[in-house]
Amino acid sequence: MLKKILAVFAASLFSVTAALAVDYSGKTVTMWIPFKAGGGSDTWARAIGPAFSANLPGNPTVVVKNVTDGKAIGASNKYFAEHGKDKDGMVVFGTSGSVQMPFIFKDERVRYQYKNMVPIFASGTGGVVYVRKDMGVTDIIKDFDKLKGQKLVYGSQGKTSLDAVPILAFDMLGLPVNVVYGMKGRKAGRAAILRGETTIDYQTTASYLKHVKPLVEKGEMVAVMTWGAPSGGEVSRDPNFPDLPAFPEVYEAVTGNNFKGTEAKSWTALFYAGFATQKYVMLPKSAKRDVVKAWQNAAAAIVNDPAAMKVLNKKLGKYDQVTGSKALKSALKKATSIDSKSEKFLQSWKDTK
Amino acid sequence: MFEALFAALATIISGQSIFFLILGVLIGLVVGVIPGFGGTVGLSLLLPFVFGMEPVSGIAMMMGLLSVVATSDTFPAVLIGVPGSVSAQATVMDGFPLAKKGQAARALSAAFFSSLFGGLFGAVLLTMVIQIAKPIILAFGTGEMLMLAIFGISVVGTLTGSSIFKGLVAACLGMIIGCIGISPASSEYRLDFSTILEVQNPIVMYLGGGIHLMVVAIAIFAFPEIVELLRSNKAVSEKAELEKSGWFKGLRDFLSNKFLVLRCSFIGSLIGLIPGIGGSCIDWISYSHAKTTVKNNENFGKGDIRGVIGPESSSNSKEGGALIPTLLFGIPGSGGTAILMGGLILLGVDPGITMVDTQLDLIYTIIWSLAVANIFGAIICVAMAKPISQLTTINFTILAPFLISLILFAIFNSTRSWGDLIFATFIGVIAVYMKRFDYSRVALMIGFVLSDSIETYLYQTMQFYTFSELFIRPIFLVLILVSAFSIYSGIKIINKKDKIANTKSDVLNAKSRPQWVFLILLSVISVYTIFVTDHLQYLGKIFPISVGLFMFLFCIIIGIQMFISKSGSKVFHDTENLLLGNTQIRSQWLTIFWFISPLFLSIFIGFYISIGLFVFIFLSKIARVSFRFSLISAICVWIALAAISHFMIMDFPPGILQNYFELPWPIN
Repeated sequence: MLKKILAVFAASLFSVTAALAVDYSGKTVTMWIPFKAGGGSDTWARAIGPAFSANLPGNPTVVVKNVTDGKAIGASNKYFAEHGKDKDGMVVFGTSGSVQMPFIFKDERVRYQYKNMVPIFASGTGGVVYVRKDMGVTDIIKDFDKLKGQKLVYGSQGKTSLDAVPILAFDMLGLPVNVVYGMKGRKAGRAAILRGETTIDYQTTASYLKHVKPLVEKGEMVAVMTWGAPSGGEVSRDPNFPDLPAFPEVYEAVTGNNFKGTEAKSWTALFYAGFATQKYVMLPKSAKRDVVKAWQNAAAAIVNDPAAMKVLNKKLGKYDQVTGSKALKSALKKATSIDSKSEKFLQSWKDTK
Repeated sequence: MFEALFAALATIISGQSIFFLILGVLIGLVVGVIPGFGGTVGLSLLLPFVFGMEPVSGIAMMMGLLSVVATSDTFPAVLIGVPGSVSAQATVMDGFPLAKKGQAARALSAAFFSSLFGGLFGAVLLTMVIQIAKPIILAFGTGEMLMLAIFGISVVGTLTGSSIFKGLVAACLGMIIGCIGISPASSEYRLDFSTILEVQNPIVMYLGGGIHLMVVAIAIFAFPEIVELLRSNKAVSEKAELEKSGWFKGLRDFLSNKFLVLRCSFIGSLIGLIPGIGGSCIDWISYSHAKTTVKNNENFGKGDIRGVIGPESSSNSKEGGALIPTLLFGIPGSGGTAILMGGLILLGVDPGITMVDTQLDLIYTIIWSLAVANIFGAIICVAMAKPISQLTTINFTILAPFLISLILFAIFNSTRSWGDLIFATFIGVIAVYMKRFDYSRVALMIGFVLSDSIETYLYQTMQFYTFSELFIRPIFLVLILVSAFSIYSGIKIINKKDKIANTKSDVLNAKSRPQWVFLILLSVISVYTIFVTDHLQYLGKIFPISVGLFMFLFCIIIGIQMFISKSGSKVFHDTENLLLGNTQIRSQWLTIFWFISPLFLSIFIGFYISIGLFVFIFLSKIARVSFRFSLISAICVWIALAAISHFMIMDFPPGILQNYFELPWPIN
């Protein structure tokens, strides 16, 4: 009995000292965001910053540092050059799809390695594909041939950006989409379809709900499919849009093939990197175990706190938040590691576009 | 509607909202005055505080800031020839010469009244059209945006110096600088020296992101002006006594040009309304409009008050216009409104199509904040115009170290990279010679600003439309006519200049070797552009190669003109000849060296230490003021930089010293 009490006492003492080991009171923790202020990633960071502040030991001030030196790739390289060996978690890194994509496409400017990072918290999103009403399509699977016969134009921001996901998807479905580049972001793409210059477009979940859904209700646009959402290792229907088929489902129905093979694997990697778990808070791998633990606990506390989540959902639109070491690691692995066959495929696919 | 409108006014001016509105206005004024900080930077500073605020107060604060930046950025534009933010680029053209004439207070107050009117015009327009604007905005497709960009380029003719070919070379150079970075159509890196250097070289990484607008604007406009003022070792104002009743005179100028103000406000709002063309060229379009539509425009560029009134009315009215697509579609029409949208989302107000139907009260709150903030901002600015104008009577050598520090800081703040400083210096030195040989710097700026739009929209228009589809679009056709008219008036103005130039040509012109060296340098740049972009995909190279070819062609034409012309022809324009025989003038390279000496120093001891040290050395050795004054000034600069570093979460570029020693904040 005494032994047991002692053991409990020792354990609690140990946990107290462990908790004491990481204490940020009076300190300022920096979130290093490789994007300019006011953009999507910046808004995201500024929304979760206070939540981390409230849940980290010692309630540090959390500030966002926008680093734009050399754009997303340069600023990410810089983080690893300056803080890649940090142990104390005073400067954490916030990434997004635009940091993952050049990594997947092996941009020679990239000097960061995802295997040198420990994910703490991730936010995901989905995407909804929609077309103009005058395409005469209501169900993408049933009306597929009709859709194929239309003049399909998609406004894209570049093939090695997040737009690799839709462009590869259109290719895999065999849709003859004329991809017009040079759009400055998804907003410009949305403006183009409103003007009738493009005819097929997608928006991320939050933007779709806000800006496109009213148009669908008015009968100007028709939603046809989603990119899906990860569930149990598969990409299945997006729970936000249970009535819309997910891309893999459409692919199987339209082509008659199983959603397997190099193309499907490549698409899935792009999807994870760009959507499913798109924005990460990360620590360098050199961070002390206690530090990682403290951050992971804070992340878990945020997700488990309905009030905090309500605020986050209100500010950010409905995102899926991922925490927990295991789930994050597998998500990050899906998003950033890619087998050599898929990699080769993507490289040659990129060159034909 | 009216009920809702006035209910919104009541919410704004009652309770705590008005306090936050004024707070926003005050921050906005400061942000606008500091060169390099515009509405974009200012709003991003506010974002962390906005989070968690009550929506109406948050909106009031952000709108307060956004509405007055385009008003207060006129101070540095007029007083020291440095645009306070991008929306004051064109104000420099006539505002600074007016300050040189001792009329700074007049220029400033005329600018503030115009700006106030423009702001209110934008607010009224926003109120009237927000519910019906959708078809107007959607009528501007890529074809129309292309024509707007071409129209923007066509005003180069009306703004350029006496040689049209020199102006065209400058515009081409601007477009080439604009091509640096990722190509819009093929997503390839261009002109980043990756053909000669290793890809991960810092220079290549920096250029991969393109050169920031503020870096070019400051280097092009401020650098040569400051070098010139330093050389002559005088105060900005050529008269020791400033003109009396400047304030009232400014109001009178404003009133007697009310139709110009109205027209320019309309232009500003209209172009602001169309997302995609960007606010940066609005000033130039309205400046050119002012110049071409008024009588007796010979003094434009030498201190005509109408050259201040025009762009100032439009630069502030564009915010009202830009708010329309932001609120209606969630598609921001300017850099400032893009961040405003981020802030609105943080407040839980998500702009979009449903907002007009469901949250009209919030839209009215935004409109009223815009209007009320403009009134506060203008009152404060007008009150400060006169005392601040006194700055122009101080010997410039004493002001210089502060200004140089401020400018280097503003440049660095663009992307917070060493590259900003290096390329600003490089472009600045080119600009010194452009000014000397009368290559239009405005043309370069316009070419730079519109480069990306022209390339992108040309490509997209060709993809989206066939010729027959394009030529049945009425707005497209109207814009073609407008551009044609603009080119015609440009030619008319140049011909007129020819006549004037011919009568006083002997003073300015003589054959000179530096003139040839500079021309050869420009041709080398054009040839370089053609060669290093040749390996890219068709869509990536067609634009830079065409621009390079044209630039080379124009260089050759200038070369031929110089070869066959006698000494005394206007191609030999060289302001240096004006200074011949004047022994009090400092050497050009010496002053350029002073300008960049803090950068050399930073390589070794880091930016932070070197700036203060520079201020100290410059004041005590060159300006020869007392040791105590120099020391106190240096310490003040250090304190100011530390404060900025703290609030903006910003690290200054480290030097070799910092590589070897860990130093405490803010030196590291």
